[in-house]
Amino acid sequence: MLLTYIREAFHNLYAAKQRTLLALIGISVGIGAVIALISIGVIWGEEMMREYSQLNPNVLNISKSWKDKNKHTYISLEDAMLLPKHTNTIAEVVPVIDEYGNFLFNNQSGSANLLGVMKSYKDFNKLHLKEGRFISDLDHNQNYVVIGSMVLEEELAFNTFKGKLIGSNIKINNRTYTIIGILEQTSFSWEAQYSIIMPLSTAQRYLNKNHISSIIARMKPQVDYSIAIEEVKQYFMKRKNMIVRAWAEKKWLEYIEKQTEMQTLLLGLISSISLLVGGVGIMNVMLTSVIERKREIGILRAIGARKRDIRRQFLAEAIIISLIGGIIGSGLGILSSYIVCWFNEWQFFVSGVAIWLGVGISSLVGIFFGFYPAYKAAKLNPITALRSD
Amino acid sequence: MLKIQELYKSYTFGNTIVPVLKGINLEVKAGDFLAITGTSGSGKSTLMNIMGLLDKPTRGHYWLENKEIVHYNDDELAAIRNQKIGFVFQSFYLLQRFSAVENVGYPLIYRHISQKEIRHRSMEMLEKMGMADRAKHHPNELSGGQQQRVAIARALIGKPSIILADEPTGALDAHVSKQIIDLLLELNQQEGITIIIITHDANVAKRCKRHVIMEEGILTTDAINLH
Repeated sequence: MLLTYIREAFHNLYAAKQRTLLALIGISVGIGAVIALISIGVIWGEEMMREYSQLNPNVLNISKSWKDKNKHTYISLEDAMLLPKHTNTIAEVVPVIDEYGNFLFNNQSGSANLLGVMKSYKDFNKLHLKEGRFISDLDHNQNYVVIGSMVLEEELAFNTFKGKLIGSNIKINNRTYTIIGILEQTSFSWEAQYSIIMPLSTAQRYLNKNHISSIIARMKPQVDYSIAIEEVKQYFMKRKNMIVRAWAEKKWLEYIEKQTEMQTLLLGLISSISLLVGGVGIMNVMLTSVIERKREIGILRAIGARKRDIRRQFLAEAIIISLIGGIIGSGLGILSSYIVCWFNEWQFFVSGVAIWLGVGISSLVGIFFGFYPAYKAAKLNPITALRSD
Repeated sequence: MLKIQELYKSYTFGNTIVPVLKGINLEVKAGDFLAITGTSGSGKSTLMNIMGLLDKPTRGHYWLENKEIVHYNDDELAAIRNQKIGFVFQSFYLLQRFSAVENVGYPLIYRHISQKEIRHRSMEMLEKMGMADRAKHHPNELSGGQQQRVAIARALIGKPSIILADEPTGALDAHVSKQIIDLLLELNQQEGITIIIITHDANVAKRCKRHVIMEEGILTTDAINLH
């Protein structure tokens, strides 16, 4: 019997080709829009996560809080170095001195961030070197610097001095330093890329700074960052009566994850408006069909069709239109998300959620928007239906 | 076969109640060939609709094969229409999208009979009607007489106990009309199928075994035609 409904439905839909085609276009575009936007959302989210995974989820950034109004307190080197020893959650720290300075390189003058750091700064920030090496513990007090990829003008650094940058001299605040390394550009190392990096001891000595600007702390494995933050805050409060701000990079990850989920949901909601329009299109076509086929409904009732036979017949037609629309729409949606990925150089994949939604939503649309016309058809009085032209 | 007792039907239009059938009593025996005539508006179509289970009486009794069907629900009525009653209409009422053979087999779809079996039986029936060579033709490719033969084949396919024909020759010329009545007579005489015809054609009514006349909602004359 089900097969009969389906066969009849195809027969009827084919008989009204033009109307079927219009309804099909409407629903295909609707479902296509939903699938395209949702898969773009999902793919984009993956892309974001891939990029943000370069953040180090185990790292806390600690600095004096603006809430602390006492101008005389600061983080000392000792405060920083004792942190792992006096807390249960912090495994390792890198104190950072952060200054602003001027430099002169081969007649190019400019200003840049000057960072005094230790060797593990590189790993904590997942930095890579394009050329040369990073600061090591043996560079104590040496006038060595590693420069970020955005410090020097591209033309100068990568054409004129191609291959000769390492070992060249650079003047910073009128003192001469030797370049020992150049950073490679990565997505989440803006600070380092715009900075000239030197050993912490050198920075303390020549930049006239005796306090630490910030601490990068690596938490022990499996430690909840909020517990670590609390502990660090208490440490500084006890030790120096100082308020510090601690920020976990993992928070960023969580935030981004939530954000992309929200965006995908929003995209889905917006696109479902077009789905609604497509569904109303189906309803319209089915209602017209019911009116046009009144006589036929009357005949079928006379030869023994029950109300539910008529209802199923019309419902089958609506569902078939929307399922075919769902298949075409899924194709359209996947294709357009592929095009968007291609233009944005994102990694394309067919999202399982999108396929699932395609099939699910299209049959739901068929049932939802097909039900009323089918109900109307079944409710027709057989005699009135027979007498209509 | 069929018994109607004190049957009333009235329609309500707003506040006015219009009585159409005003106490019909009628008994039809198996193998009968009955013509109902009457002026338009006399209520014969309404009676036909009620006998065909397309409409329900306001009150009264209706037995079909000894079963009082007045209280049957919609699904049960549909099943009886499908199994016990064959309709023949004035304007044939074939499904335009389907071929002759598909039209003939359509009632059997509701009986869950296999596609192959339906095809087989439909072809047999068309052959009987002398329409086998037109099996693949669509209604718009057939003449009026041919369409009515297809419609009769459809009415017969389910082996009904009764054929209800509402002005079956109304849309046909005299010559073709005679052929259709010949066909119905033949079915009645050779196979004993009970047939009720509504007609306004005196010539048609004359050829039926029995002739009742309806006037303003009641049956006035009930006569046996002697041939």
